[in-house]
Amino acid sequence: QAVLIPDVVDVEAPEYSAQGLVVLLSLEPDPHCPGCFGAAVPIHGRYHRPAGDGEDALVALKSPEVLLCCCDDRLSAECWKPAEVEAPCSGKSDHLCQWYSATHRPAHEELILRVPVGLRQHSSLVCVVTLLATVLCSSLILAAVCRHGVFS
Amino acid sequence: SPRQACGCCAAAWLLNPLPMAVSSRGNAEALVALLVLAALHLAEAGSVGKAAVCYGLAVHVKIYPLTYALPIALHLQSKRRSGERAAGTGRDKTAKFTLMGYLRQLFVKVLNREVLFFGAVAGSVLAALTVVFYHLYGWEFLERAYLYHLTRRDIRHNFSPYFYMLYLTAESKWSFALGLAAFLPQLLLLVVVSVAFYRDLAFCCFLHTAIFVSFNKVCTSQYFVWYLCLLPIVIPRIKMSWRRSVLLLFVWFVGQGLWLAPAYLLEFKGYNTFILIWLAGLLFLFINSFILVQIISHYQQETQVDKKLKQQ
Repeated sequence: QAVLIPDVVDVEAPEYSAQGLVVLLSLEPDPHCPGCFGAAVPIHGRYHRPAGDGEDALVALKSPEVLLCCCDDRLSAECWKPAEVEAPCSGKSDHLCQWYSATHRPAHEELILRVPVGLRQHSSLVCVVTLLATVLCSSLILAAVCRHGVFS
Repeated sequence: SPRQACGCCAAAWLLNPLPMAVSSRGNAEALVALLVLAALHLAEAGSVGKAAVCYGLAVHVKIYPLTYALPIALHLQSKRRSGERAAGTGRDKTAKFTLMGYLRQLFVKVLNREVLFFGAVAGSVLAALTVVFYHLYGWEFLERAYLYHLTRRDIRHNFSPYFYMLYLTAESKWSFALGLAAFLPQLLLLVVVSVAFYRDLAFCCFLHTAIFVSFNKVCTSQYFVWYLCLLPIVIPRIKMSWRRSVLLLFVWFVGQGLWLAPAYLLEFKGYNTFILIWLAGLLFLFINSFILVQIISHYQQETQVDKKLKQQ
């Protein structure tokens, strides 16, 4: 179960004008590994600003924050400290529980996502060629309409 | 036979995989197609009021039928004019033909009773629906349905030839001017096509939507359904050999395929194929224009069936 904050996301917005969002994932215990919890998150990159140097945009995929819930009977020493995060106890419930950040060691190094971007040097060439192409195509159609159209 | 021909042309829509795929993706394009076809059929049959209701409903569901206002207006006034011409207006025949004079004559005659009635009914239906839905959903409805399209800046890859240009200039000071420049060929072609082909309403609207979609700043597969629904009506009036039409269809699909390949590599594999996508978009525009020129060149107003029926 996942909770998005905010829950309305503008999917079309480019990266530089998009709002950050927080995703709360409830992890399920892994049946094959006692004491393990698992989740898989698919990622789709937004459009980034065109680059001047031809390099792809780099997005660092940091490790997620692992939160433990001080609810039910799973009390640990950290639960006596003031709460760090208040979030729903489980996906759909309205009750808020106290959650504490657990220290953990990431299994892999920080991952870097390369997002392809357009080249800013191409701007003038692309504008000129695009507009010429549209003028050419519209002239073709205009000529055909003037030749075969009924103007009486 | 006419019945067989009708069946074949209807099959071009009903058994066409493209509308099937688009409709099952969750877009109710078939609904808009139904409303547009009903409005055009009723307008040609002469039931102006019912046509206006269907048209108002169609514009409420999707905004693009708004472009049909000009062909429908010209078509309605032409029907009225053909009745008046029998009375005899000798002065018009002897007047020298000038472009401005012709256009002035056309657009002045547009403001006749039937056209005003159509406009009033369609406008009221649209206004009533807007008010009802505004009461149901509030400001969010107005924003999502209408205002969004005014400020929309979709820079993600799509079939449109302008996509890369808009993406690269999204934050520059030229962005507004370029957006406007992209709008001008569309506007000019739509007006000229309306004036040239308004007598055949279905063909005119088919060309209208095909041009609108091909030259639009955003173009996705779903938009093709908007003019494919009019193709079965238009097919009998296009005198083209089977081989040529199959070739044109094949070229159209090849154009899409050449775009989809680099788009897949960009979106799912992360390769930087922006230039290839842009060039494929330009090629697809050229292919669409070529197909439209072929359709216009092979168009004849009276079909063989019409001629046979007249001879009987």
